Amino acid sequence: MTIDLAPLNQKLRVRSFGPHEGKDLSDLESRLMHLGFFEGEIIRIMKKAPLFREPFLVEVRGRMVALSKTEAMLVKVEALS
Amino acid sequence: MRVALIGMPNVGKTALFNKLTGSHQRVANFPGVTVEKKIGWITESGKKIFEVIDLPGIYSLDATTIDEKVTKDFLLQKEREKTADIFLLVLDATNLDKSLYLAFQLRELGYPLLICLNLIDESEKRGLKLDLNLLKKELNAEILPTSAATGRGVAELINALKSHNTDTLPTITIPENHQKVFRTPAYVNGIFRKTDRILKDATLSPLRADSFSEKIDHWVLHPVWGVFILMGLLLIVFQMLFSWSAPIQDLIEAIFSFFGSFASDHISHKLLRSLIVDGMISGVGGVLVFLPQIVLLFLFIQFLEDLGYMGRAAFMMDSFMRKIGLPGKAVIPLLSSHACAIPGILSTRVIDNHRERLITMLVIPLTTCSARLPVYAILIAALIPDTAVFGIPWIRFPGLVLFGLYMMGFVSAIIVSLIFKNTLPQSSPSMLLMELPPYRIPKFMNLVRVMMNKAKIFLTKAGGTILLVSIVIWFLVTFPQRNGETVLEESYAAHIGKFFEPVFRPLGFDWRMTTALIPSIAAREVVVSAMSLVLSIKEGSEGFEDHLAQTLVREFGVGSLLALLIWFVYAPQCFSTFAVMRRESNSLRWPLFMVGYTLALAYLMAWLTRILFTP
Repeated sequence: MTIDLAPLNQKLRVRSFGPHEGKDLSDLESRLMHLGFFEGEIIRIMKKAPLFREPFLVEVRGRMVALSKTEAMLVKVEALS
Repeated sequence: MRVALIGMPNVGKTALFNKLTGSHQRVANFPGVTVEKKIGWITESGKKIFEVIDLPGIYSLDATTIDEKVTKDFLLQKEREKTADIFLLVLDATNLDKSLYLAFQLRELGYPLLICLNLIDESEKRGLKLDLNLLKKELNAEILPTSAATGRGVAELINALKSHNTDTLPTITIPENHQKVFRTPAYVNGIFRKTDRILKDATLSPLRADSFSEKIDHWVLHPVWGVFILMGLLLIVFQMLFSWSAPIQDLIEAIFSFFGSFASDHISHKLLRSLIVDGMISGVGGVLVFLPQIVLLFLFIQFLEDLGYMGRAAFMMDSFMRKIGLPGKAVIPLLSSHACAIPGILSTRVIDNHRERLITMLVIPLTTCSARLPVYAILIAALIPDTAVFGIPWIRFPGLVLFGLYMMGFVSAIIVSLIFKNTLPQSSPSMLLMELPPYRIPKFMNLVRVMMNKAKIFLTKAGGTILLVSIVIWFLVTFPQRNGETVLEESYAAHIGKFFEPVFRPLGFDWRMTTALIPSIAAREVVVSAMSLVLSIKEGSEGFEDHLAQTLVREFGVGSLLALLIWFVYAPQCFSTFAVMRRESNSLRWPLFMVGYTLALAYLMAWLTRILFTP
């Protein structure tokens, strides 16, 4: 699943990100990667904004990062049991 | 010796810059972009010993925003001597996880680094103990604990800079294909894993988690309370701009009118007196009156920014604003432009996407700036009877119409923004992706410093233009003279007004109206005095406003006056706005486009109004 569909307040592991693996990354994908959305990192979705259920607030590598829905859809995650 | 200050966003870099350089700093722009370039000097007994350049915060050398590109270009430029002798890298001790990335990246390329472990007080309070020697060895650089908030470690930092050997510049090797290398997942992964490993070894006692910010966010980002808090803050902005700045504005007006009467009494030459009193003093005074609003607004914005709230406001508003083609960050610029478009345009700098920033700047003139209020007031007094709506005593027609005019501007801004969203070429995809910083208590001195800078920009950049335009307009309404007397009907302004009369005839404006519109290029509110001038009504006399209102209706008729009212909802902003937009958009094309589209819109709407309301 991707971040926009993942449950709130649970530990999630980033599986892979973006449809472009192996190819050159776009600016957006590179920025996501540098903020810590990287294979194996553990993240947590802290909040969804009121009204439109987006953007998302995610805890990643000690940061709080706000992601819009389009951005959230780029990151694939799995729940940690 | 030159020191470059670098670090990720939100690590306290600017606070450290202020601590190091004190008041010895100046703010300019990087060439070609509106990104602030801050340069300061570290002084010792009055002598400047180091030049410090504060670079915009970056996450890594793979830059994606305009700010980051400025820093990246500075760091990667070919001519070594143009960069810096030493790179002062600021790390956040409470979040080494993220901030070590840049340290390893710069280290690998050979940059001579001096590292400060900032926010050390907070990290110690939360129980963090580090093996600094191990970190020093791994990073091959001196590491000094600092706290920009208390000044701890700053003296040691300056000593370390002094003892730094600059005889031999270490070579920096930048890979040829760095654009590609810096964003390959394998490269990034390498640095992440190294960070994890070294951090594990160097941590003697771990940092306790801090849930303070998250607890506050529970309320601030709450679906109900969060919206209330945001609305409350926006209400405070409005109050501040309209009520709290009024006493200072009155004071400025009083000072200028004192200057005016002083000059009237002491200059005997009639023409010179008119130039100084009517041209320069009243022209500049009419715009300077907005300085308190500008300064107060920036104080408040900076306060929210330093507090950490601005990112949250953008987070809450983003999805709504995006529907109309604007980013969440455009809320504050759009709101502030209700006071004056100039601070509104200046504050669009927070929007990092160029296209979105441009759209925000283009729709700002549609919001109702406070200079329009005197014009609205006189026209509403002339046109709308002061009676209660549906017999409810506290809702009266004039107030309702004023509200309607505000809404008209607001709704038009949304519609126009939607049109631009779908027509202006897309340069780079819109991004929200941003880090929300932890909450911090703003530092008073930083707020004052920012405020002074904004006031200075307004006075120096807009001031000259305003003075020039004021003099030109004074010239147009004063000359040519007959027997040393000004006859308005024969002035150049009247000639221009008469020249344009045919163009404006469909709106019902005669030459007196078009002439009165000319001074409004300098500032909106002078239209009232220009009107009284063309109608030969003495301003400031008893019952002046009623008299002017009655004369307006008698001379022009209801249809034309309504058209004039609507004209002012859309008409191009004053010249100062144009000048500021020219500077901020770094182009002549966009401010001209703004004037063009608002003129067309004003004409169309005023024409429709005239047709609808003329029997």
